[in-house]
Amino acid sequence: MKSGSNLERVLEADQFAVTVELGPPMDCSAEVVLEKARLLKGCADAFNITDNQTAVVRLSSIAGALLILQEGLEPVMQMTCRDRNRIAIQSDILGAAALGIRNCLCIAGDHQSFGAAGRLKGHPGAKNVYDVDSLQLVSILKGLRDDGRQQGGDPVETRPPLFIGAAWTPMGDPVDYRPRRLRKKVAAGADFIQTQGVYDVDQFRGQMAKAAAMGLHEQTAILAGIIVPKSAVMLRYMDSSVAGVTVPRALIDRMEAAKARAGDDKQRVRLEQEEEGIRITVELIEQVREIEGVRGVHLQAIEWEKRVPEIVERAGLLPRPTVAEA
Amino acid sequence: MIVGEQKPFAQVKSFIEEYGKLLVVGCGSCATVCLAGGEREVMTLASALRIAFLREEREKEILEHCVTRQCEPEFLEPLVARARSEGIEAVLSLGCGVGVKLLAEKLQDLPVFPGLDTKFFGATTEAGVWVEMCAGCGDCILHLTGGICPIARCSKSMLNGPCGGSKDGKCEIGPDTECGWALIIERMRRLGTLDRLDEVLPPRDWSSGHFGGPRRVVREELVTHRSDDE
Amino acid sequence: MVPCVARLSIPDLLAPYELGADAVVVISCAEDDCMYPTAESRLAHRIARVKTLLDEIGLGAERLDHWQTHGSAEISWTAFWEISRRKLQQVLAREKAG
Repeated sequence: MKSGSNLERVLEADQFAVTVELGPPMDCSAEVVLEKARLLKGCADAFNITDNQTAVVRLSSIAGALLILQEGLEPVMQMTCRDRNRIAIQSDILGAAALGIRNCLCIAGDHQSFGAAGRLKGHPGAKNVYDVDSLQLVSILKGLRDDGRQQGGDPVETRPPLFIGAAWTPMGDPVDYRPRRLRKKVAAGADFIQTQGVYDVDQFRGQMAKAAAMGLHEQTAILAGIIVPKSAVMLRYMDSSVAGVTVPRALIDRMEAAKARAGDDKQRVRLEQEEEGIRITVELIEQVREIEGVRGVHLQAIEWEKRVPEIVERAGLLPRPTVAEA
Repeated sequence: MIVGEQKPFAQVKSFIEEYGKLLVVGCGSCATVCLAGGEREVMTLASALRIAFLREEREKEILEHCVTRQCEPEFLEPLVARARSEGIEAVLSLGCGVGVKLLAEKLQDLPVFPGLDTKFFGATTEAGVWVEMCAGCGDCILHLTGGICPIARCSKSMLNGPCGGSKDGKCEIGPDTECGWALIIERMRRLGTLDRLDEVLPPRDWSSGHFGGPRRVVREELVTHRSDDE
Repeated sequence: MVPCVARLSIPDLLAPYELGADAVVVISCAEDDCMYPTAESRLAHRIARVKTLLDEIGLGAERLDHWQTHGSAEISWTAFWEISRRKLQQVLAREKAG
C-alpha cells in the first residue's frame, strides 16, 4: 500500500473505481465547495479538485481538497506544472500530505493563454513556469514518497504517503505515439491514470488494446474519462476544438434528434438534450467498463455536479464499496 | 539570426519628439536579414519621420547611418565620431537590443532609443515568415531530440512531450504554432531513433540559461591582462 | 529619373512627400502587360507598404494613387491625373474643415 488512500484501497480490492471532478469557484467561497461536496458525497471513491483549470484563477486545489476532506470525502488534488516551480511543487505536496491529502494528479496544465476565453479575461500575459513537465512531476512525487528525497537530493524524513496519478490523452495527436507516452508515464511512476474524455469508444478500445499489449494496464490503474454532454453544441465544440476528444457522428445526431423532438419551447429544448446527455453518459460508462484494462471511470460534469448522483445510480455504480484500511 | 520587428511608428516618433538632430542607425546583420533594420529600412523610417514632422511644421534634422554589426564595439567607433562631430542629440537604433545597449554604452551622454522590438533567435521558413527556433538555454539538447528544440518550440518547454493539447500537428495555443513535439517525433521516426524518447528525461538544470542570472562567456586565453603589456 | 515605375523603391515613393508634395500618382502598365514576371506584384507590394506608412504618419493612404493603363494610351494619363487631383482637393478640404 503506497498511500492507504480510499481510491488505492478500492483498486487494490479489484473493485471498479469511480472518481468525480469537483470544480472550485473563482472566489473564496468555501460554502460553494462544501455544497458541492455534500451533493456528491457517496457518489465516488475520490473527488478531483481541479488546479486553476484552463488557467483560470480559482480557489486552490489543496484548499478545496482540505475543505472536502473535512466533509468526509476523499480528495484527489491536482497539480499543474504551469504555475509552480519544483520548489513550490514539493513544498505544496509536503503541505498537502501533512493535511491528510493522499491522492495527487500530475498534469502539465493548459497554457495561460487559455484563461482568456469566452467572457473571461484570465491572465494571458502571466509568465508561465513549466520548470518541470508532467512526467518529471510524477517522478518527483515518487522520489519524495519512495526514496525519501527531494528532487535536488536533500533527505525527506517523514515521507508523504501519496497515490500518484497522471493524465493520458489516448486519442491525442500524434495518435500512434500515445500508447508509448503512457508507457513513459508508467515508467516515471504513475500509480493511476485518468484519461481525457472518451466519446469514441471504438477508437479508445483500440488504444487500450495497444496499452494492454505492453502490459501497461497491469502496472497502472487506468480510469476512463467521461465528460457529461449537455447539448449538441457542446459535443460539436469538443469534437472540433478540444484536443484529443473526438465525438462520433452518431452521438451528435442523437443530440440533434433530442433537440428536434423538443419543438420550439426553449426550456424543453434544453431539457431534452440534457436528458439525452445523461443517457449517453450512462451508456458510455457501461461500454468502457467492458474494455480490458479499464479499472474505473473519471466522471466530469462541468458545473453540473448536481446530476452526478443520478448518473452513477443509473450506471449501476452505487453503492460505492467500503474497503477497510489495512 | 536575431529576429526583430519594427516598433509602431507612433511609438518611435514619440521617443524623439524633443530632439532636434537625430541619427537613425541600421544594422547590416540580423536586422537586415529579417528586413527590420537594414539600410533600406533606415532610409524608409528616416523619410517617414521627416514627412511626419514636416506635416506638423516642425524643424528636425534626421540623418542616416548604417553599421555592419551594432554588436561589435570597434565597428561603432566611426558612428560615435560622427555623432560627436555633427552635434547629434539622440540616436534611434534599428539594431537588436544588443545593438541598442552597446550604442548606449558607447554614446555615454547621448540618449539611444530602440526602433525595434527584438523577438527571438530564429530563421525564415518561407518568404516573409520567421519562426523562433532556439531559446538560448545554455545547455543544448538537440542531440536528444533530432535537432528540433523542445524548449524553444514547445509552448510548455516540455522535455517529455507532447502534452494532451497537441492537435493535427499544432499547439493548443493556436493554429499558427506548430507542435514542437509532433515535429520531434516525426523527425526521430524518420531517423529511426524514436526509441530514444522512451527514456524519461529528468528535471532540467535551468541555471545554464537566463534563469541563472545574466550570463557571460569568457575565454581566458583570449583575455588581454594588463600584465601582458608590461 | 527611373526607366520604369517598377524600379521605384519605397524610399523613392516617400521622397516627394518629403519635398512637400500633397499627393503622388503612379501610373504603371496594365495588368499582365509588363514584360517582367514579378515587377507588377512587387510594385503593388511597395505601394501597399507606402499607403500603410502614410496612414501611420497621419497623411493618409489616399494621398497615393496607382493607375494602370496601356503604355501607348497616353491620353488616359491626363484623365487619371484629373481624377486624382480632384480627389486630393476633397481630401485637403476635408482636413481643413475637420
